[in-house]
Amino acid sequence: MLTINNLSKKFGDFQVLEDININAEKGQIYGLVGSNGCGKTTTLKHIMKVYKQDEGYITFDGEEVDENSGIIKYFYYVQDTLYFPYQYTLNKLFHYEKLMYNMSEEKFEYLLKYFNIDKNKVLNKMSKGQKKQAAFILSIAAQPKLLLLDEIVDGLDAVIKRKFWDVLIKEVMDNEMTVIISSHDLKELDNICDKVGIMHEGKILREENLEKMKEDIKRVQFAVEGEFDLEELKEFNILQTVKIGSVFILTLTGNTDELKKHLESKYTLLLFDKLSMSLEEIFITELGGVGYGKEK
Amino acid sequence: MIGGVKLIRIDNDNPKAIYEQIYDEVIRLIFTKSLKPDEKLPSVRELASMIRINPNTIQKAYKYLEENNYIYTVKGIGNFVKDADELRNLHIKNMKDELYKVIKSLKELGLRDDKILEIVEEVMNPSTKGGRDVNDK
Repeated sequence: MLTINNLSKKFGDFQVLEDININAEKGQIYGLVGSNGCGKTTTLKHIMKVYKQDEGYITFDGEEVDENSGIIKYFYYVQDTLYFPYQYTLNKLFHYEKLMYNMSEEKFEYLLKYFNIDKNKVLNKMSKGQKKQAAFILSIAAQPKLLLLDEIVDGLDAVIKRKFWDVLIKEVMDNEMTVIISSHDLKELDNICDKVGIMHEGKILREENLEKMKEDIKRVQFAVEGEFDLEELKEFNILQTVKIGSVFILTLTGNTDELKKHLESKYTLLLFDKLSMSLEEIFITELGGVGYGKEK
Repeated sequence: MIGGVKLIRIDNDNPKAIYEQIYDEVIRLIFTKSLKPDEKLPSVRELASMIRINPNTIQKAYKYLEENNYIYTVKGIGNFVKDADELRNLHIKNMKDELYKVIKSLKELGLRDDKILEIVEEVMNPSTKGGRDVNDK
């Protein structure tokens, strides 16, 4: 289990991370999502001890993670922007990484075939998508307990994405690997993550089991006969209201059946539909709640 | 990996939770005999990869299917569809429970018994009652 406790970091005067708390259980796929420049990559780099925090601490399976702890050799980080050593092939890099990781030859060979990647091609001559696949193959062959994937699906085509998830699900289920995956493509993370942390301006706005999040945040659309005053609903926890013609679209937490009953007791309901809420819509609602995207 | 084949359809516009959608879909497959009695269901991992859904969600759906007697589990081997007749009876019982709820709420709305029977009649024989459009497809 990975825990990040009250982690804070300043770069000069700039508060890049503020009081970050993250809990990812063993065998979980954890989606770290957030606005551009919110500190996702910086958070991942703290886990890898590329950066040292000003405050707070990180533990893995109860052991504190610092630059001297042996536990880091069980962590593997695939960066967003990939740089490979000059003239290196994937095969050469695989043998080099044996110095640090418990590399599995068997997994390496299997994944090369599965993704159809040439291990003898110079990495820097590969396409962006091929580089991502090469880095992913290495990360799985390294058999980490904790895998950090920064924008890995970005630049992969639909077929390769499926293969990627297939391999990842297998590793998570068979070896209880913990995965932290960041992405801007929320459709890609929806329904596959166990848990999601939503970041904004260096803070975690919300961290929760994704299924639970979807149970909590609901959206309905309704219309009533006659005039409707939103004041009527002040006892409900409404996060967002949109009015299109005479149809109201509400995003709220709590029980939508109660809302329906409440409306029925006072109005003739012409329309009442429960709408689905995707991760993307939850994200927009949460960030809208702190004013993001509402600049004039 | 079975590329692009969708045994189970997940509708992202459906407000139902994903595990409930999987639950409904498996039942649909059983009753259309797309899944036969004693046939093995895809493993949690296979289905998770196939429809790109979290394995714990699949597990949850399978657990509910087992609790409600639609499937049975053989430890270490997998999940299997139960016997068809048994399932049919079970499903009729479940539908009866649903019907009971509907009638109860109609009563709560103040409808008299004869009015409810009239509605039932209308549903059973949509043509007899002035061509009221009852969606029976």
